[in-house]
Amino acid sequence: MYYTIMRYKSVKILLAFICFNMFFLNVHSQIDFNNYKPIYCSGEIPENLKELSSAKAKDAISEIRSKKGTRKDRMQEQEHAIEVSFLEDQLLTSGQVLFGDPMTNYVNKVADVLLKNNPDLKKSVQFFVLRSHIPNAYTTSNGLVFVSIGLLSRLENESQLAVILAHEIQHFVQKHSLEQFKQEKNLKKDFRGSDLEERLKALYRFNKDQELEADDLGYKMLQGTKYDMSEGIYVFEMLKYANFPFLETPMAIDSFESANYKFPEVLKNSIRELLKSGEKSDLSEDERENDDNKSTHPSLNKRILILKDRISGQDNSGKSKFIIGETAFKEMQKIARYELLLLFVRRGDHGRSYYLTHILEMLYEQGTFLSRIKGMSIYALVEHKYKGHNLESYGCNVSDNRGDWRPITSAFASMDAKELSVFAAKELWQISLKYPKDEFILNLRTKVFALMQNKGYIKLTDFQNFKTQSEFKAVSDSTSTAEKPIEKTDTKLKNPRNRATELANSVTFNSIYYYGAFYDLSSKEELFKIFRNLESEKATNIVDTDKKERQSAAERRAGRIQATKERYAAPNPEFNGLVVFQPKINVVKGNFLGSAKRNYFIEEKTKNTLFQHWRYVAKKMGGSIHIVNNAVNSNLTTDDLNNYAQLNDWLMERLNNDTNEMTLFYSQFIAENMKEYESNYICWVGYDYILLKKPLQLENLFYSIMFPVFLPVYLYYQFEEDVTLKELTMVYNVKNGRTVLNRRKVLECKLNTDFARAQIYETIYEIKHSKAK
Amino acid sequence: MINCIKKQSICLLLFIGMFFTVHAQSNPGYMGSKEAISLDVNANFGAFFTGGNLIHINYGLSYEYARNKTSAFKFGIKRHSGELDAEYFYYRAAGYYVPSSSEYLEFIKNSGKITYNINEICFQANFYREDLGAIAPFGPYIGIELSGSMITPKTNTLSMSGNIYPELNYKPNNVYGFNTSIHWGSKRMINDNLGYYWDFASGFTLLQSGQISLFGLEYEEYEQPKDIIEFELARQLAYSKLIQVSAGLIYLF
Repeated sequence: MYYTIMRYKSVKILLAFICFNMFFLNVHSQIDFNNYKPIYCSGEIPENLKELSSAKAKDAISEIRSKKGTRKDRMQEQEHAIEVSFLEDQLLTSGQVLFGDPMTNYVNKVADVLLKNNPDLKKSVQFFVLRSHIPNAYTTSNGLVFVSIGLLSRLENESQLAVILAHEIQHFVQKHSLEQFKQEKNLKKDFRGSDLEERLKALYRFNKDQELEADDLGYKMLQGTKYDMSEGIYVFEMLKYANFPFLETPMAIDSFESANYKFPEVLKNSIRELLKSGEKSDLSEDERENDDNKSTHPSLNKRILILKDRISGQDNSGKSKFIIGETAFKEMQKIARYELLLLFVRRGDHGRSYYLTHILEMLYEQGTFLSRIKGMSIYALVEHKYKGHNLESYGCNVSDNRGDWRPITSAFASMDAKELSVFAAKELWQISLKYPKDEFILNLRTKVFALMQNKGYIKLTDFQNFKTQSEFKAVSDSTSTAEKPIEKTDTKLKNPRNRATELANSVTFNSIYYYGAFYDLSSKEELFKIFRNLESEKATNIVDTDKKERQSAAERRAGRIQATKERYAAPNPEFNGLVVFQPKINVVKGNFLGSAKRNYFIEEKTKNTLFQHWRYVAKKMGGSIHIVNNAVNSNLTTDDLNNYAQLNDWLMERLNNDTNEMTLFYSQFIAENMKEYESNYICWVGYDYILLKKPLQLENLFYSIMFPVFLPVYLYYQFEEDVTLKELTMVYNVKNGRTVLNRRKVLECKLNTDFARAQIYETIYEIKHSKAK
Repeated sequence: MINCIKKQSICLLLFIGMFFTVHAQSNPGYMGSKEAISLDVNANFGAFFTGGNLIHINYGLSYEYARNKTSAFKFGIKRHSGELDAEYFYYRAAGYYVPSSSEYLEFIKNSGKITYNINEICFQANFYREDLGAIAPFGPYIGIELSGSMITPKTNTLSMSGNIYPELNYKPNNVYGFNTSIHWGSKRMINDNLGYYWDFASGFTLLQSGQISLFGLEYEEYEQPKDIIEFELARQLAYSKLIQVSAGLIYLF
């Protein structure tokens, strides 16, 4: 078992070997992994993104119409062609797909080897890397193969990638997507969903027979190459353990203990309880996976057996794990793993990214990037904990995290805010000692100290007064009385002067064990100096606050009036420009029979019109308003897509970490973009445009024929569409991540030029006048 | 009657006052324009009740200022020139006119067409429907109009009747009315500044005699023929507000 294999001591030897290799490889690497930055597309934009989706769909439809077959078949094929043409383009321009980057280039090289003897097929297939953490790959019926970063980061050699690509190519060759679409249509399954990824998954969910057929034909394809087919077993094993880290090393809370910083049994017990509940959920999940009847996919165990059966007795001589080369693969693998870390950060899976940083530090050299991610992860967890968020949503979910992911993430979930913040402060202090000039890390450190002080109500100088357990016991015995019960308290102590005595009287050592966190550090004096400064700063702030509180009622009233005036009349002084994502729009159109459906053709047209309106209004309003384009058209460039992707990454991180105060990791990467745009604000706007025809009112028609005076009224009523326009606008200040505007509007108006422009003008006006909350 | 007008005037002032003092809300206007002037063409169907041409057209000029996203106030003047066919109300008067002096009736009959002007000054509060995509002063709205109007007979009936009845008090006076209407309409734009609107309104008029158009206007006893003419003019004034359809060009600035 993959899970247990990693526990052997030999893993350490393997890790040392890999570390050596990676060190050697890094000498030749062109990428600066120490200051790693997210990878985006490069080179020429794919040709299919220069042609409108509607044009491609129309071509496909005319081709289908010329085919022979039943009308029903042709209709289903047309529907499928439309869905695929538009969804493919939406995915390619969403900022989630990479092309021209080192990973995609590598995947293409492996594909070239596979398709060496099949030039026609080679021309009709294109390979892309999907920026998703889920280990997955899928193929569209137009021959686009997407391989996720989650999958690439877990592969161990080139042959494994070849097995996956061969399998996916066969899905395309056998037209499984169309076949499955027809089957599901006949079963009247609904393909509609809100999320693009969800829709695509629905579109490319193959059945058991199709998967087995693709496996079989994929193996045949591999037989014609020098790739080692037996590596497919690892691929299936890897997919079985998708909820495990790609490499494991035990990491429990005990490993963070020192002589005077020991986690209490109460905490350890609650972690144990959590782990037990996780094990129970593992059992049921394993049962589900093994039950081939209940699953839509063939069981991975079954596929492993089929492959084993196929390769048994075969001559494996001349087969190799690498054809392009091991060095190139390791480079690609390293990039994928660094990207995976970034994906976890973007998703807000901070528990997972903290653990993975530890693994990558073991595999590769420690560096600024990994330390920043590590610091970011633990800092973000503290922010969420103080916000009262459930850390299960931030990469600490017990059932989702299996293997060695689980102990440490369960520990984070079990700690209370004070415990976790002290733990984080210690980690960040140690990281900052390694990188004393790294502003990002220093900022995170300061933020955690501030959280401890201001939200945790921890008096930082109390860390200096820490007493070891025996000392604490001695003081406690001398001051406590038999009558006074000892209870755990989490509340702020009101009188700091009597703090030591009160602590001794009212709390147990275990409830304040975290005061020993810094006791054993050699650098503690330096840290305590910072704490003393922070305490004195806080005292000054309190004096200032008191002054404010003592303002007269008249002064306060004047202040409120001024604030109201500013809010409603004066533009926000912080506003210096706006970067707007190309507005998104979903158009749903309903017919007289009452069935409503997404209309991609109208959607494309409306999207372009909206873009023109936004540009027009932005120009009219003046100032620095930029609209980042990602619509498929002949003018679209790789730079456009990269700009869109970069801003989208920041926005995703912001949305997945829904706290106004949090420092965001991607802020460092888009600072330059924003400087170029001369703007602080980023705006995402999306519309849902629903046009529904009224069901035919036969009764009213009858009356209007009887009384022709009412006929015009009836006709107007019958043919006037019910229109609903939903608008969602989100505006954030990129400098501090604060929300400037988050507005939902529901209107009953058509997107006619004047109405659209009026609404856009009003939206920009409101952004200009809104202040960060 | 004077008390009644006083009360109405106080109500109008309160209404205007409230409109100005409600907490201000930031208003972008349509593409930054919050003020509009409009040229109005108004058709009313008062003549349906009073006789004469079915549709009466009047013209107006108004200024509108949007004070927040959903409300705007509008000041305007309207002017309408029309004529009354004396023969029509001769027959109506013949049925009601108590001192049935044939002299009077003849006088009316011979008056021919009596031309008049209606001058109107109005204040209108428009409430724009934000849910329908409106942003004052643009888009669909519902409005309340308060207006004062005056009808002035232009034709000197004396000259028309050939000065044959000098002993009669023939010269009709101006008639005043106080109107309230509810409006329903929409403003659309052709470009950033120029647009058009349509408006449908219905209202009633409180006449200086204390009668309200909605409750029906009845003949009273008259001493002079001019009373009949005044009454017919008052009817004209009152019913002109019952159903109105307007359209016009607007210029936003």
